[in-house]
Amino acid sequence: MEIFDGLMLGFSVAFSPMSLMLCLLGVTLGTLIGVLPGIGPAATIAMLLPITLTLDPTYALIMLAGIYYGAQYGGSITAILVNLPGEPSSAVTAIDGYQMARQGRAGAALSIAAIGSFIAGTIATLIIAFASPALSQIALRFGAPEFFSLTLLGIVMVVVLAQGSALKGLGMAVIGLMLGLVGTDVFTAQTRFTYGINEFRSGIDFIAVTIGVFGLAEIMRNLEGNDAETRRSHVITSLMPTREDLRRSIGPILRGTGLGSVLGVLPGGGAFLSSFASYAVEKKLSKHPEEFGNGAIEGVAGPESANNAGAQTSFIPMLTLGIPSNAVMALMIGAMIVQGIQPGPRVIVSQPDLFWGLIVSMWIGNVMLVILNLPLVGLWVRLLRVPYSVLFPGILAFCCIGTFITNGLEIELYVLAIAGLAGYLFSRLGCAPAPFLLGFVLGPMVEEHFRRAMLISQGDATVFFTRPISAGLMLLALGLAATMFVPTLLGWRRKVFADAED
Amino acid sequence: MIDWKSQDAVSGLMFLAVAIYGGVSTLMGLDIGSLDQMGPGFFPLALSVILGVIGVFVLLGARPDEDQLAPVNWRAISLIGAAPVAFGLTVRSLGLLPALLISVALATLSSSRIRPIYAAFVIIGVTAFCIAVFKYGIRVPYDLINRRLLP
Repeated sequence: MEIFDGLMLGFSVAFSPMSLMLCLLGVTLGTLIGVLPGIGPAATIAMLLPITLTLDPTYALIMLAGIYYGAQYGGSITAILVNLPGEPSSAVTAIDGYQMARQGRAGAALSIAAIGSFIAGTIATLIIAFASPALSQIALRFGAPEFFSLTLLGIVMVVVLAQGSALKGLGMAVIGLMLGLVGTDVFTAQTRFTYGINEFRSGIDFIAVTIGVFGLAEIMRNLEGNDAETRRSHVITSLMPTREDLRRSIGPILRGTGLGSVLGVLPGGGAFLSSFASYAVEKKLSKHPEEFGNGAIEGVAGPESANNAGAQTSFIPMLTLGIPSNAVMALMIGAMIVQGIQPGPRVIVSQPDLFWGLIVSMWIGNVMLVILNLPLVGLWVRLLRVPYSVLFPGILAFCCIGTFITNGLEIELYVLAIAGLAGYLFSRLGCAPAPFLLGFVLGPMVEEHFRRAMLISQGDATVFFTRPISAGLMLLALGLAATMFVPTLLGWRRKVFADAED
Repeated sequence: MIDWKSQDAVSGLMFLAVAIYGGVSTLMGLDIGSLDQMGPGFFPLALSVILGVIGVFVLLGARPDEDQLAPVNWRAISLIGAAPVAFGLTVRSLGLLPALLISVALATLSSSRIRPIYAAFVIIGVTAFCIAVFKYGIRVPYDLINRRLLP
C-alpha cells in the first residue's frame, strides 16, 4: 500500500515541531496579509517568498502552501466584511457575503466560509494523495515530445480559461517565454540577450520579476484611486451559524468541493473559475434564486468551498507534472527551482518527504485555519482599518529588501523596478499577468523539451503527432487554441462569465 | 477603423514591438540553424514570429474600450519605480538603514495627501519594523550602516 506508506511518511514530516511551527507561521502571515485589501494571494506569496528561501526546501514549500491558503481565507474575510475582494475568486463571495454582513450576519457568513473551506480542503487533500502518485507514474514514461505537448497544452488552457482576452493572454505567454530565454543557451553555452551583463548569464531572476509584476505593480495600481478613503467594517455579533444555515449549506459545500476539485486540476481553472461555476450552479439549483445577491448563505458556502478545493487540487499538476496551473503554482515551481529541485514526475520518487510532507501539511494547515481564524477574526477586522498610506510603504520596503537578500545583487532591484513598471503597463492595457509569469517560468523547459525532441527525431517535426500520447495532447491544445478564433465559442465563453456575474 | 488609443490597439503594438525587436536582434546576433540542428537563435526567432502574428491579430480585432480608466498617477508611478533603484544604489555604499529610509521616504512621497509629521512616523515605523524582521529576525548578512563609514 504505497499511498498509505506515503501518508505515514507525510505525517512524520508534517507533525515535526519545525513543520508545525512553519505551517502555523505561514497560515498566520498569509491571513494577515491576505486580509489587507488589494493584495491577492499571488502578491502575498511573491512578497514573502524570499523569507522562505533561507529554509530547507520541504519546510519552505510547507510554509508557502500555508501562506497560500491563509491568503485565500484572508481574502474571503475582506470580501465579506468590507466588500473589497483582494482577488477575482473572492469577488463571488463578496456578492452574498457582504449582503449577509449588512444584515448583521457577518459572523455566520465567516463561519460557513471557514467550515466549507475546511471540508473542501480535507476532501481535496485526499484527492491529491490518491491521484498524484498515479499521475506521476504515467508522467514518468513521458519523453521530451510528450512534455513539450503537455506544456503547450497547459499554456493554451491557462490562456483560454482565464478571464479577459484570450488572444492577448496568448501574447503575454509568448512574451514570458521570450523573457525566459535570456541567459546561457544550455545546448551551445552561447549567451543570449544578456547585453554583456554578467548577472543575466544564468537568466533573469524569477523572484525580482514576480515581485515587480505582482507586488510593485499592485501598489501603483492602488495609488490610482483615492488612498485616503477610510474603510468601514461591519460588526460581528455572533459567530455561530444557525441550524438552518448549516442545513442549507451542506449541499452547496459538497457540490462546490466536487466542482472545485475538478476545475482546480485544469490549468487556468483553479480557484477563480471554480468559484464562479459554483455560484452559477447553486443559483440554478436553488428553490429561491431571488435570494441570491441579497445574502443567500448558499452563495457563500458553495463558492468558498469550490475556491478552496480548487486551490488545493491545483497542486496536482504542479507536483506531478511540473506544470503550473496558475500564477501561484508558477511561484511554487519557481521556488522549487531556486531551491535546486527539478519539478516534474520525479519529485515523488526523489523527494518523497517533501511530496508527502507537503500533502499532509495542507490538511494540517486547513485545521489551523479554522482554529485560528474564528477566534482571531476580531483582530483581522482591526487590521482592515489600517489606512493604505501606512501599508504601501511597508509593502514596498518588503519588496525591495526581499528582492535584494535572495542573491545579494543590486541589479535585481533594477529588474524589480522595470518589472513593476511593466506590470503596471500590462494592467493598463488589460493584459493578464498570469500567462506572462507562466511563460516565463516554463520558457527554458519548453525550449529544452522541444530541442531535445528535435534531436531525437533528427529534425522531424511530425514526432509530436506520431507518438500517441503526444498527439492526443497536441490535438487538444490545437483544438483549444482554435476556439480563440471562432466567434460563436468566444461568445459562449463571455456568456459563462457574464452569467455568473448577474 | 482602429481606435489607436484603445487598450487592444496599444497591446497589439506592444506585441509587435517586442516581436520585431526580438526577431531582428536574433537574426543579427544568433545562429538560427535548422530543425535537426537547432542553433541558439531558432527558438527566439520562432517565438518572435508567433508573437508578431498575435500582435497583428490583436491590432486588427481592436475594439474601443468599454470602461473609462482612471487617470495615470504619474507622480506615484515614478516615485514607486524610483524606490527600488534608490535602494539598490545605497544598500551597499551606505548600508541597510539609510537604504530603507530613502526608499520608504520615496514611497510615502507618492501619496499626495499624507501630512509631513504622519509621513515621518510611517518612515521611521516601517524602517524599524523591517530592520527588526530582516536584521534581527532572519539575520541577513548586510551592515545596517556601511562599516567603512563608521569611525
